[in-house]
Amino acid sequence: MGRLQRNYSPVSFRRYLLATIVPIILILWGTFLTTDKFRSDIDFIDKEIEGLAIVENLYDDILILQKIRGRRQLRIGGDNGQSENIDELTYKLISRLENKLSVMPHYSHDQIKEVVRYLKEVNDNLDDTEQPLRQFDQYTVIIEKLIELINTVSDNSNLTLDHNMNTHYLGRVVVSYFTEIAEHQGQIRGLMAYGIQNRRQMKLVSDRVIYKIMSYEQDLKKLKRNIKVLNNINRATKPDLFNHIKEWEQSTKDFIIEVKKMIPVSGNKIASRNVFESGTQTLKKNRRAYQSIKRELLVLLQERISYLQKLLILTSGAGGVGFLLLLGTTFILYHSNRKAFGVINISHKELKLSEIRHRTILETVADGIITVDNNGVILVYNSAAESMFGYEIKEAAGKNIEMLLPGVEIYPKEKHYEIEGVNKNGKIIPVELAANEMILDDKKMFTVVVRDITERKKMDKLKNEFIAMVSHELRTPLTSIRGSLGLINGGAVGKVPSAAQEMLQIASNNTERLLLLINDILDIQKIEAGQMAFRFQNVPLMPLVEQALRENSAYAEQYGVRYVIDHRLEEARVFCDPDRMMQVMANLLSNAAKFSPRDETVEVSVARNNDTIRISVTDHGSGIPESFQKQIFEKFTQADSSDVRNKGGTGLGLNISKLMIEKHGGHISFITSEGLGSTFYIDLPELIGAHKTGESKNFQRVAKKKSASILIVEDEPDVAMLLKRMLAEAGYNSDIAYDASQARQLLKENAGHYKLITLDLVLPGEDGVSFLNKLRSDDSTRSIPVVVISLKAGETKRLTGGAVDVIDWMQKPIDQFRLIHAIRQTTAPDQIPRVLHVEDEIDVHKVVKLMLQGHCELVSSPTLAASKEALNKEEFDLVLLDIGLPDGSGLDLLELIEKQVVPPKVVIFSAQDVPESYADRVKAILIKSQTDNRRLAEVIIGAMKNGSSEM
Amino acid sequence: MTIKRILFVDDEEDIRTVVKVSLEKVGGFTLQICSSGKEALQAAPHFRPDLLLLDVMMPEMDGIATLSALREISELKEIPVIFLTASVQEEQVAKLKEHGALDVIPKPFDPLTLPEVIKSICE
Repeated sequence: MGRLQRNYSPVSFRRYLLATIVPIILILWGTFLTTDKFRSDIDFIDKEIEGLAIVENLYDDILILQKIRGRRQLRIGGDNGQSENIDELTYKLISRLENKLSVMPHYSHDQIKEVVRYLKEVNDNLDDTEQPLRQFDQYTVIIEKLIELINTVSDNSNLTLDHNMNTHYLGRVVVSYFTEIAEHQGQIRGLMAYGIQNRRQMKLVSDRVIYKIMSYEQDLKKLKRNIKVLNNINRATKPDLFNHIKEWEQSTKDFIIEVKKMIPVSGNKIASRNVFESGTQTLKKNRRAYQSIKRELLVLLQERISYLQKLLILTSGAGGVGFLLLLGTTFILYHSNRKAFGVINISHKELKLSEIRHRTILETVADGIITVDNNGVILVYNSAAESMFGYEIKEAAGKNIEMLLPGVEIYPKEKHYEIEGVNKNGKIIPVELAANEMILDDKKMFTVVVRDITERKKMDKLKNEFIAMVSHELRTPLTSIRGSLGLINGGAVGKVPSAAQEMLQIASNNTERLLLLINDILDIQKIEAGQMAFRFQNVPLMPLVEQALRENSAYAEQYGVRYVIDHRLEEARVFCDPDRMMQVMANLLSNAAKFSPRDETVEVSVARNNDTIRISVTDHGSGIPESFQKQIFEKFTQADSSDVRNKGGTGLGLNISKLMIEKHGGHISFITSEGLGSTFYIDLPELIGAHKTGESKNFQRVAKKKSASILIVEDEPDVAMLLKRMLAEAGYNSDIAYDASQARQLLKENAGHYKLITLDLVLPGEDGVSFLNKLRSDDSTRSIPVVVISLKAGETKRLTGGAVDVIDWMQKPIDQFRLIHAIRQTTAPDQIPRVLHVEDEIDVHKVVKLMLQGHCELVSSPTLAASKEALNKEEFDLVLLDIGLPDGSGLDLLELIEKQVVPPKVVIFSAQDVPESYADRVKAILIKSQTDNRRLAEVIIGAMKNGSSEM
Repeated sequence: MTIKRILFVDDEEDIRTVVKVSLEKVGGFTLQICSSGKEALQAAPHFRPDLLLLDVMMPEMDGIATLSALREISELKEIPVIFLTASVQEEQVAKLKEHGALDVIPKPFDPLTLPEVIKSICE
């Protein structure tokens, strides 16, 4: 380090200079800016105060003019009492105005002179026999000229109102409107005086009064608006000012009222006089209020000025002190390090030092950094890369980067990606890469940063092993406990004394709880670690919801609760993993049952909500307390810790549900009302367009074509009715036989009528097996296809083959879609879908063929080339695709498949993992090692149903 | 195929007891129980099982190693095997099936229905 420090000194000195001089400049600049701002503010306010004084003075001039105008009116009216003062007043005013020329700013001189000239003219030329209104108007013109002057002064003294009003520009508000309004008042008053004396022309006067009032009111509105703005800023700090403004506003309003009163009484001398008097009173009040406002305003402005002056001194002082301090520090530091700073003029050396610095950084980082040219040839790399790959730079330079990182992309699409590197000894190193382009001397180069993630991978592995271990270690003792209890409770080891039975039941219940807990924890861990496999499929939703209800109804019965579907959406299809959906539904349904009062129902609905399908589960329980609502989807939550005992459950269910639904691109939430119940809902993206070509409509189409009749042989009336309903929904007629003899009778009566039989193997009296055997031996019934609906999977084995074609077997509960599909295959054989099976292993093909027998026509294609040919020549409904083919990757077929006029659906069935990016392009991805035969068949059949519906 | 004789290997004594009751008393099978792969190798030639029921995680020889060793015995080359495992990891299950398991029964299992489950798998 010591060596480096010496080398770095010139650079440090520059930095040091920057570090001291820059703040000094900043401080000086800042101080200058701030003080400058303060100074301009002070100037501004000074001007404002000056302007206010001038305006006040001009306002007094107006008042004198108004007085003159009023007295002229009185004289015209014959009242000579004060008329002799008119000339006196006029000359007083003229001299006032002329004096202003020496004190007022230059810009106002022309206007002042004009007012004086006009005033003299009017005074000299006035004839009392003239039209009195004209006289009035002439004075009014002069007053208006004075108002104009006031406006000019306002403009030049920062008193004109604008939108960016600041606290200290209060003067603008008052002055701008005050004078105009005051003159309106004066005019009205004058007109009134005139009206009193000249009754005949009162009509004309009242018109003018009305006009004046209108403009007066407008001005008042403006003023109020501005006062409001002021209120927001200043009411708290300056209550007096606002009180005076209010007073002024009030007296002005009062005056308007007085004037309005005058109009109806025009011509009535006494009434007019009264109004005139009260108008005078309000005007006096107005004047007082204005004086107070002005006083307050001046105080405010003075305060502001002294505040700004203080700030100015402080800022300048602080700036100066800061400047001196920094200067001093610089000086002291420079002197104490003068030697170290040494020579400054060393640009070449600097460059070298800079290089050393970068080199040091390069050599210090733990990541390998490799620079390659456009062709991937290694130019340089750091020691981390050396130790990572085991090649010295001498060995690696000039070689292609592929030697270290086979398959590397120096133009990566993603910012970071994982790849495997190879070191000198041939050892594989998992690495994460980030590549970046740079242009140096017009040459394109790439920097590849390589991070060894061996440790991270190891940690991941350890974590997985830990989970596996925990899982194993917890489950093993639990297996013994649960097993023993199961055997005891099941009576396998003899009778248990009744006293012990209860205790054993407790042990057994808690074992189940512990097991649920372990499973839930493992589920959460798996989802969070991204290890839970989701087998997404395009599935119709209603059958799934119905199945969930059936599977959970026994649980609800414990609580005396019943599930009902109160809204259906038959065409709803979603992209989901049916197993996981069942898990989420089970969670919502069991919660709803647990928290419902006895004998209540839990309503389930499926409906469209904007672009999503919403599944809602509504209970009529006590609702969710508000305090609990926020954490309801978190881990280990139940409203009341005692609920765990009362209601069972692990407190993890909703958390798992949320995680799972989010993996589906969906959303889970709830609405609750204390005392009324709660609705939990899941929103899942709807498969666009799916509802237009929905399954049920498709079935109806088939049914119309071939309205086949079906015989249901089933002893349980509920199941029989369920089957009948399912078939009816798909458009099939059906009859029910409750036992074998009834079935035979129906077959005899309606010979040739039934296209298919559904058969329960467990029948009262003669069982299903025997019935089937007899069916086989009778020529008239030999060819009728049979779908066996049985409780046990194994039983069907004994029945396949033989003369009677058993086209499918299914377990209870009955999967409606599978049933309908099976029936469709038989009743509409012309619609059997064609499947291209791209698979090079003949054994796999054989197995698949066996599984799909009766469901589709399976065409085998063992190579990529043969598949391409087949796709170009023939039409298929579905392609079952293996990836690892002898002549290439099956994924290469996707493009060709997508180009078909009616693109067949694709199900990938491969031993290899398929990148997630393909998930959107195919119906399903099945991994050979993880998929059993039944699942495979289900997925293919599901995809075919879906596929044919769009044909 | 009809299963009568089952060779069961598990290192946990308690589980061996539970399975013994389950398969002998409830299921009526004839059972040879071993506590390790080694023991199974000794017992298998004399016992001549119809089915192997193997635990997976065992010290020294795990379930897969035991299976491989047992299949070395000429009479047991084609013998069906079912694994019992406490691991719920899907890769693990997939791996077991790659090794030719008919099925994998997760622990904990229900001892009352275990015989039924085994029968239905073998059918």
